[in-house]
Amino acid sequence: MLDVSDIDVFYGDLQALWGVSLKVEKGEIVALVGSNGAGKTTTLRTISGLLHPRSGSVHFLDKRIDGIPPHKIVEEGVVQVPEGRRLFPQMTVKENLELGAYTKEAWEKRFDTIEWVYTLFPRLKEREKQLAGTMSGGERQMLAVGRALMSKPKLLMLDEPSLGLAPILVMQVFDAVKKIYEEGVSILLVEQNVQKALSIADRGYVLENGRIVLEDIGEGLLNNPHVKKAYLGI
Amino acid sequence: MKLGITDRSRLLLETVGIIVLFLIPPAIYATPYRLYLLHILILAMIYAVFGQSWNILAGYAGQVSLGHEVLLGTGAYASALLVYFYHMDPWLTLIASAAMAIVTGMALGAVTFKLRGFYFALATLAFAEMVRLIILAWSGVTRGAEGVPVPVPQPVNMFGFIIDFKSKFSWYYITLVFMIIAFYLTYKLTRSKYGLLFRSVREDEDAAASLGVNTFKLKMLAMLVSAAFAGIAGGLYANYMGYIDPAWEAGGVLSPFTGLDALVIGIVGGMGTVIGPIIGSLVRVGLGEYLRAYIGVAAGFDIFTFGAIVVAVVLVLPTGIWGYIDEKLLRGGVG
Repeated sequence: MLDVSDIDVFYGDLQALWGVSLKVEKGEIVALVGSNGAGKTTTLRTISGLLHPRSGSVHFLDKRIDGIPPHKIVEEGVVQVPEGRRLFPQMTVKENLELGAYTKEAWEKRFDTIEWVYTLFPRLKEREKQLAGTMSGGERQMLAVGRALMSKPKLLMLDEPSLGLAPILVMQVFDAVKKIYEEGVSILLVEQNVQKALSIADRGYVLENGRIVLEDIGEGLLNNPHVKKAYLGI
Repeated sequence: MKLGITDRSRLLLETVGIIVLFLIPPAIYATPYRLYLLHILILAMIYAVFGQSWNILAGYAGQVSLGHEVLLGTGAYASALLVYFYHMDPWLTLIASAAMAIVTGMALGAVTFKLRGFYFALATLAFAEMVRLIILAWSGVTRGAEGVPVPVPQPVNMFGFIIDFKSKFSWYYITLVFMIIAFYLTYKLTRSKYGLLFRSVREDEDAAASLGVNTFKLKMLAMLVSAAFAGIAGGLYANYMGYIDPAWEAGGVLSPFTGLDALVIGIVGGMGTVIGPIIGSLVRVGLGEYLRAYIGVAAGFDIFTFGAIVVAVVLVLPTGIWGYIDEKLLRGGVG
């Protein structure tokens, strides 16, 4: 459903991505892994329309989406949970969720969708009226994911959902990602936690210095000697 | 002490508040100062609408404008020039006031909404001064530094009430009705989906954009409502005062000090609250006049004192007077 084809992306004169191609099929979890500065976030930002490729193309459901503004891409059904969560700290959990249902279609169904999100993350219902900024790191991550789900996305892109979380919370977040996947939402997962990401992913890509260097099913990458040596330390 | 507040008790409070406002003129009729008091209240209500205009843009949508006088001033000029040159009905010219301010606001937004924070604030300051200088220099159309006298309109018969524009009592009720309408619309707007979206832009514009919010369009929408309010406040001001000019000094409709008044009203009253601007404008106009009358003998001492009071309020009540009352006493029930 998502087809990124041979994109070059620049920050000014600095080239960040070199001919990156990747695909996410319907009903898949795809992991994009790599070290800091490899270009993972740049790839997501390009798909979200916050950056534009100088060459190459991005298609979603056979529609070309590179070059259209970010809010239109959200309407097409592609939503990103940004790194660092980007919640609205002075607004309540419920208001944060409602804001996720910004598109006209989603807004009309927002009460049903909130109930759905609450069944995925019961903790959010308990905290409904609390200000987002006063919640724990794990809860905030749940809220960020829940908010992204409010627009009923077809493809959910998660940028470092485990970043800065205690190991127990990392587990919770990955459980939540699996639950969402079981609800039929395709997922593109960007992670530094290579082990975790590849173990739940159907397929994975390894990004190094702005280039895709490896591509395989999740398990295949976990057993790949280069991945083992460079990312898993074994 | 915390009071819970329900929708019903809020409605009751508001109704009582509005009735009190309507009964003020007869209540003070017997005092020798009634015309002076009415004058202060009329100005306070016009300034409350102006403050609300700033509050929508800055308090709710987070776009802190330092040149808000440009919207008040162009609105005032639109009405004053139409009345002066074409003897148009002042009611009709208020539509022109709103339209002129909206056009100005849209132009301001189109060039400044790409900027954030301090850069936006600085750009609004410069834009407003540019417009003031254009109005000052374009004397063929605007009468330049001479200013525009606005003749008092003929009395109007409205639903059996004779509105005599020479009377401060008439003006009191005119401005009161406009203020109530403006505040009611603000209440409705800020409680709607758009209110939520404005606040999201204020909190974190990039996060809002990543959710699919077209933040530029939203800021323009906030500007549109803000400009309409400021323009009408300007039109009312021009017709009530009977004269406007493009002076830089405090008191001019295009003066940067007038723009600062909007900030003082919004911040002291409570940014991002509906009631705040009324409280703020009562402080700005009422307390300002009081100090001028009682300690203004030593030149500038009243302004100094007023400044000190504003600083004290902001230090003690960072969310403003109404922000504090709403948070601590009413638990955010009124806003």
